Amino acid sequence: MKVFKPFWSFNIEKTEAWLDEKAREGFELKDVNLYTKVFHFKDNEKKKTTNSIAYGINQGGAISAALKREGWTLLCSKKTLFNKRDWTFMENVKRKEDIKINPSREKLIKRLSLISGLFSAVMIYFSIIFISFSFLLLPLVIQWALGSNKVLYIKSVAEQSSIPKNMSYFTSSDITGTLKILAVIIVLIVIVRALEKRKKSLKSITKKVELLENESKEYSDVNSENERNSCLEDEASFDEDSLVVKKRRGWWFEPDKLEEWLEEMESKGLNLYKLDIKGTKFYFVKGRKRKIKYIADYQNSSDDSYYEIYTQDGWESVFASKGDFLKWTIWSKKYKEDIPRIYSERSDYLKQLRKRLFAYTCYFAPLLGITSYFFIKMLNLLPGLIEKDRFGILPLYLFVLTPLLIWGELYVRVIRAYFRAIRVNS
Amino acid sequence: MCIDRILKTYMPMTETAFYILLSLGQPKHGYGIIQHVEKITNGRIKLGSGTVYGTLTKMQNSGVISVCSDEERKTIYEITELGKELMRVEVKRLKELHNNAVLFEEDFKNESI
Repeated sequence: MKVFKPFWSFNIEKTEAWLDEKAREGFELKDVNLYTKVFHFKDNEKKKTTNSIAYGINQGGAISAALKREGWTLLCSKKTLFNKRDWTFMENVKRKEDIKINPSREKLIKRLSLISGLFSAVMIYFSIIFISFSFLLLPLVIQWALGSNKVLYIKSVAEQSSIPKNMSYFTSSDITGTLKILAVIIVLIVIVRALEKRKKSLKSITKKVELLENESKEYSDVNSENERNSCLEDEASFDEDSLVVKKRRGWWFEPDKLEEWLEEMESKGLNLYKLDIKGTKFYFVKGRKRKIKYIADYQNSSDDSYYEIYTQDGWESVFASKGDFLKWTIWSKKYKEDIPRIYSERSDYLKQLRKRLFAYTCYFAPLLGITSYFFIKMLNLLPGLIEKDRFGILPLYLFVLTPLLIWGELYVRVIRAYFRAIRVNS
Repeated sequence: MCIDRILKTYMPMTETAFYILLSLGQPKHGYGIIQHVEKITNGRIKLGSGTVYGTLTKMQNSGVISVCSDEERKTIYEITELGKELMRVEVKRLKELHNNAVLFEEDFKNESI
């Protein structure tokens, strides 16, 4: 029996439930064609099995030992293009509730993040086009609607040749074109929202966060547990006087300075309570002096196990940027004597610094490249303009020079932070 | 990845990589690895979470460890057959080093004692 399921990989839980159903009907999965999206079944006895679909690093089609011990058996395993990952379909005779060890969902979640990210990027691209189009089109439409005689509405391009010189115009194809782009944007928004919903359901966020919070309490010192409890008591009795708010933008370009500043605040008795969503406002509570190590950690791509490992080790996440990619997290850990570190090997520390610098360079290089290019072009025009006495072009210069200087200054700060960090002994 | 590329990538193993892979002879959580290594080195090596996360990611991508989720949806790591092959080669190398170190230990004895 063959079944065509084109979108099977976007709702894994539904597909797994469907495979369970097929097994109950007496069809065992024999093969899956990743390209034609066809599932091949062979006739079998009716079985009550739990099915699971794993997406992971190419393991040569084998199931790991831990899974085998739990009773999972391989149905089929398919390599994807470029051979880096494979899809593994497996079944277990135990009931879903009785199964203790399951394949990891991490790579599946990452895959959805990547696809969702790509759609979002396309959506942003179209949104920029839409906004610039509307920005030019909307005033004309409004003027025409209000009965201005300076604006013409033209049905087709053929009439363009007969337009008087002082009139602005817009065509019906301008309108339909803009509306088409809007439609595309709406479709993309729907797709991205659906993908995010699938991601959330795979993560089962609430249960995990609860458990992680309980874990970090388990693993930290008994003393710091008491400290935390007293902190929570203070929280309940917050009033205007004890809360101090400080603004600090762009700390992610110079994270070492942020860490120093936060530790300085703590030594003055100002305890960091939280940040706002955007990560620019810092809320401090007047309290005791604390010995806390703050670390601003950057990850090109993060996942649940990133948070698991750090929180299990006693680090608390004070702030985390949104999304799984280009992630900034501010971690804190109380200590007594030895300053806690997250990189125990210098080579790992240096590797992270290099990754961060590389990411920033990829971000700034095109921006600086484009603005410098325009700046140089305009420099060539300058002598000619001075002759013709056209200083009206000066604002345009500032329009190009300002972003160049702003971005340039930020990038210089990034580079200086990198060299400062290399010299640190930790 | 095939064994040759693995050997090229990892050999000789750093202390961190060796101890992490050693700990994963039995399935463990990320923090279990940190605790285990601290215990068997008598506190000499306290692995940092960033180091562990980075190394585990790298090892997962090379195929020397496998990942699963337990009932609380927490991640469990374990060594794979490929990882075991790597460890066998590395243990052989370490045994050779150890035997020679013991053999020539006399040359480095502290004379003043």
